[in-house]
Amino acid sequence: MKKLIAIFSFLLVAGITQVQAQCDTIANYCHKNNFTVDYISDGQNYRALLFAEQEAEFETTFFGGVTYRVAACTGFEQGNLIFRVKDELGNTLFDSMDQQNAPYWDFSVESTITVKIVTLLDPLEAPSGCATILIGFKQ
Amino acid sequence: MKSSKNILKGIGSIVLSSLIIVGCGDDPKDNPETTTTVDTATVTEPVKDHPIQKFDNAIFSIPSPIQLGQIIQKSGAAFNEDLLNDPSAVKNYTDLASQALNLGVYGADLGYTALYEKSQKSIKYMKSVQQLSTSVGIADAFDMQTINAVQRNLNNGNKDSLLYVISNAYRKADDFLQVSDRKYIGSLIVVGGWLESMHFAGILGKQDKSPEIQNMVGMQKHTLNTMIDKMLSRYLNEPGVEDVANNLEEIRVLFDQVEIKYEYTKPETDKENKLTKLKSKSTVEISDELFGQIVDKIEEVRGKIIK
Repeated sequence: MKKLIAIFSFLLVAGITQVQAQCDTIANYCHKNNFTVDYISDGQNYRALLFAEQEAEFETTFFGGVTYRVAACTGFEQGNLIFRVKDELGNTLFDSMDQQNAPYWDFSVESTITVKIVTLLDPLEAPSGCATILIGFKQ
Repeated sequence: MKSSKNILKGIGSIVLSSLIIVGCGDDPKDNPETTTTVDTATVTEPVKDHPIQKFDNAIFSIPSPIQLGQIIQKSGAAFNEDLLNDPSAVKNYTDLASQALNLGVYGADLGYTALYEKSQKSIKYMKSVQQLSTSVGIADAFDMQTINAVQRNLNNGNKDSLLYVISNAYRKADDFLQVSDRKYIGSLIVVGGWLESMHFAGILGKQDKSPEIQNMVGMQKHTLNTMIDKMLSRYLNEPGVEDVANNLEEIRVLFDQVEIKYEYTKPETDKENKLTKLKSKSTVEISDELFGQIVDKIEEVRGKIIK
């Protein structure tokens, strides 16, 4: 019994360490692969550990006259994360599933609005992962 | 034997729950919606009902000071040195909270001077930023490689690359703080940067009566609510945070009078260029008098932070 507890304890520590390390590096990977010098990061990393059909969301303000880039990553393969942009009434303004799970998409904004960014794993590609969303704006 | 199985199931629950809680640097007190009460005699059931969780430490999104500075610049406002905090005041910030707040303030000042291509001033602010980042324990975000890149781009007058490097350094700082046990430091940096940007916008908006800037300030109603209710509220027990929250609360009383109306229009997507045009519209209703009151209150709060 003690051996089994020791094995599980080891798995726990190893699992946490692995997930932690994964989350730490995904943001940098995501930035490097999806942002060019003409897009400036908003200075924040939006991250959540997702399992199965869980969704994660956050709200942000898109300012009028600005073009934004939203990049979505989980792990080190592009296209495993689905993201949707919704308005304050719940209307879907964009769904990356309609664009073959594009890892990034640009949004030109006519008037300042508040939007909600919702993300979930593609169940066919990844059963769990550290979802990372980055937002940049065009210079 | 049955007892052993239950113990193993319990350990399994702990493993899964711990991964959920600890993964991505989450902290149970930060994100109560994802915290799982572990019963060592039961197994956590698979998720079936599409539960929504909030993004770790970032259910909020605060506009980047550089982005707000860019909007100010595009409105046609001229560079105004008097708006900036004195870079040599860095020595006055001796406690962690004031260091973090002013790291945000100086970051906004650095972005502002860089946007207007004021190289010599940018170098001074970069030094203050570097000094404070070391004080709050995130020197790695502003390491020699970053400093050299800033210096090189300043010398070359390469504004685009400069802003890219600065923004990325703040993103790295956010990354470090999200996985540390001092997430509140990151929140205070964000608040400092936001206040400094609102100070720029407020003063210029008062002078120029620019509808673009007044609109930008009015739309910060939502950001302010997010900062108080979803960000700072998590760290009220940390040093200096409650004072900051109380100060922002005084600004919120005024922002509550700002009216924002939203109108949906179907967006247009250009698949080839990976671009969607968002055509919906929000209208901000804010009187000159209310705008003036908001700006005065922001000045008062900023004055306390940079003193």
